[in-house]
Amino acid sequence: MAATNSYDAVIVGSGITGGWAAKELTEKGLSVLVLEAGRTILPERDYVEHIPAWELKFRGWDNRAERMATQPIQRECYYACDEYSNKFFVSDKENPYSTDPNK
Amino acid sequence: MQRRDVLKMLASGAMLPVFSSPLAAMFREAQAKTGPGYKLRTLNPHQNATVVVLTDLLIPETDTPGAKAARVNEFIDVVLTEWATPEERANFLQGLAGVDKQSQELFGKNFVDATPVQQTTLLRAMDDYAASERGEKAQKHGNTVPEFDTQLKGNFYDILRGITMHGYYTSEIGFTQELKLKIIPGAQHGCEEIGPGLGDA
Repeated sequence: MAATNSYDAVIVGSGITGGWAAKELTEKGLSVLVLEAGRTILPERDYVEHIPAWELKFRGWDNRAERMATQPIQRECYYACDEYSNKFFVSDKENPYSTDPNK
Repeated sequence: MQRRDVLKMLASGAMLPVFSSPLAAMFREAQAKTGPGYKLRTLNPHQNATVVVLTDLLIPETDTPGAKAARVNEFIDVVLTEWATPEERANFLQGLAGVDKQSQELFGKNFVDATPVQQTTLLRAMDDYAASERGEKAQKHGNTVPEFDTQLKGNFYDILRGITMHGYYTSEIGFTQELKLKIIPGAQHGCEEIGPGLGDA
């Protein structure tokens, strides 16, 4: 029989609220599982907000052709899916949106 | 590998006859950013000279360096080469040719050969014309998603001015010397002499 684990709480996504929820619940003594999707993030490699604009090829205008090809919908989150941080957004090709044709 | 190292290897002839594609990609990447040794990829020497004069008239050297020192022309070349659509690139180059055409009609010589006074006169006329074309922009409210990729759309003068401002203020010179900004601000200077503040300038 496969081993099973049970938790008092399962948090899906350790964003700003998920992280705080995990902190509060564990501090209260609960057994907590946090699930996080996506690739591993190494701060020294992946946090690039401090890199000056002149070291970006398009100075913040982003690689327009590439973004339109890979993330035309994600980039509408224009203040975050930019030349620095588009890597934190999924590919629209791999994760296409579907819409109800009647809406 | 640094750009410098790539150049050294190329100069030594060690890479002949063909260099491998990852290295070729690295070399292209090394060339792509502006700076010493940048090689123009879209602008020809005359177009580049015209862009240098135009941008440096828009942001001239004062007590801080101007657009020429900040290599705004090279940023423009990067944008025209890799960012612009073929139509936008053609429009920009046509606009640039239009500057020479007007300069020829007014002064009988190309823009780069005109006197600074003549150049400024023409640039002001372009500004006035662009201003007359500029309509009232519709008021946007709240969290509206902005229109994307409008940087190279519209009147040539407005495009040139926009790209010059952006290229200058995102350059190291514009950012550190003109805007006096720091990437990581807020150092503690315990016994700083109190002088005039930014608002008093």
